[in-house]
Amino acid sequence: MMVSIPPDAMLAVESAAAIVAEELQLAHRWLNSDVQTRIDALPHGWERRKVLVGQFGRLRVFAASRLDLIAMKVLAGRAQDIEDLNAMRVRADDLRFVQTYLDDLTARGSNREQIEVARMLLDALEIHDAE
Amino acid sequence: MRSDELDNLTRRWSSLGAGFDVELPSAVGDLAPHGDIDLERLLLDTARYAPRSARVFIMAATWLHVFGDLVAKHRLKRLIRDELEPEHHATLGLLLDIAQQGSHPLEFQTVIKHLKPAPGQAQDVPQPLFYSARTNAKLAELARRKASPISHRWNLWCEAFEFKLDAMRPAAWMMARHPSLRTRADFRGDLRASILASLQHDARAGESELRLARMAGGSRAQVRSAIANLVMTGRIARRASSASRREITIQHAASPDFE
Repeated sequence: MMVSIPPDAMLAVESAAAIVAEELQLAHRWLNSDVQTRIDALPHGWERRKVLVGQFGRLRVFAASRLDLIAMKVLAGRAQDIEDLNAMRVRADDLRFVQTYLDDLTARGSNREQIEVARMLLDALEIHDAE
Repeated sequence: MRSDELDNLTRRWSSLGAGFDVELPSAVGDLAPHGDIDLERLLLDTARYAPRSARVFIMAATWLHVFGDLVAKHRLKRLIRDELEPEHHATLGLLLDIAQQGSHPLEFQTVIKHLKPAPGQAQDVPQPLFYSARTNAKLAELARRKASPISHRWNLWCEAFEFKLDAMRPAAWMMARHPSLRTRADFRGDLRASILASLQHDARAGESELRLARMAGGSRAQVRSAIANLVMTGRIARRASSASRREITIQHAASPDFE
């Protein structure tokens, strides 16, 4: 998931990414900005929780917080997300946050089947509170 | 499985242009003792270890979808027969089957027909492809529910995924690191590619024509014809063995003592 603020700044970032791709011989579209399409699925308050990665000239880069990352991975629910969730050693308070997030998505009328599958995944995750 | 085996697998794929967040060694030799990645054995290792990592599996499928021509099919079939444990056959079958979707003719069909779906477990129940879901009944049920039709055919459930084409480095980058892949590309994975790969990676493959045929996975007649072509183009040399006039030694042109 990538969010650009302001949104049109992404054009400048993509131009810079194309130069980096040329210099480092990366895939032309190595910086995948298409993921902005699911911005509606971000948990409420994600902006408050975001974590500064670094400032690069006029570009400030943030990462999603642990809670938001866990929530998005539960919603996505792909095999690689499940591996990531296992590696993140999800705790009970993380699960409560995701539960609230899924309730909120339900209230907003998001894809019902996707939310149902996400709830199944949430129910299946191992909890690591005892550590 | 130790995590360093998965790390090594990831680094080898990364060296072939798959986009992973790993540090590449400055020299390919650090990953491949013979100077180039042994592509066919990399596929066997992928079948063994990629069920530990969905990202590795998806990137391997993507790479094979784009560069399937580079795989030496005869040698891959021989290595499957001689070296790949039966419990990993279905994983490799599924990987190749997914990778060949959209190719005409189907790129790996000649290999796939030698692979079988995973046998049922005790209750004749298929299982998730990825280990992360195998030991958790609820995750296994989720995997079954989301499994693609292809994965059902192989009795290894995994969700359909899009190839990660935007995570692949340009072919020129890969060819610069692995020059032998250029020749493989020219041969489009035919028996000549298998012969060159065997000479490079299989112990004593050039000891005799018979042994080379065995290692490369072709019939004696097919291999003899392919050798003639490779000798003509200067890619290999053959000479009488000192031990017996009827034996020959076959050398890869990339070999340091090639004359």
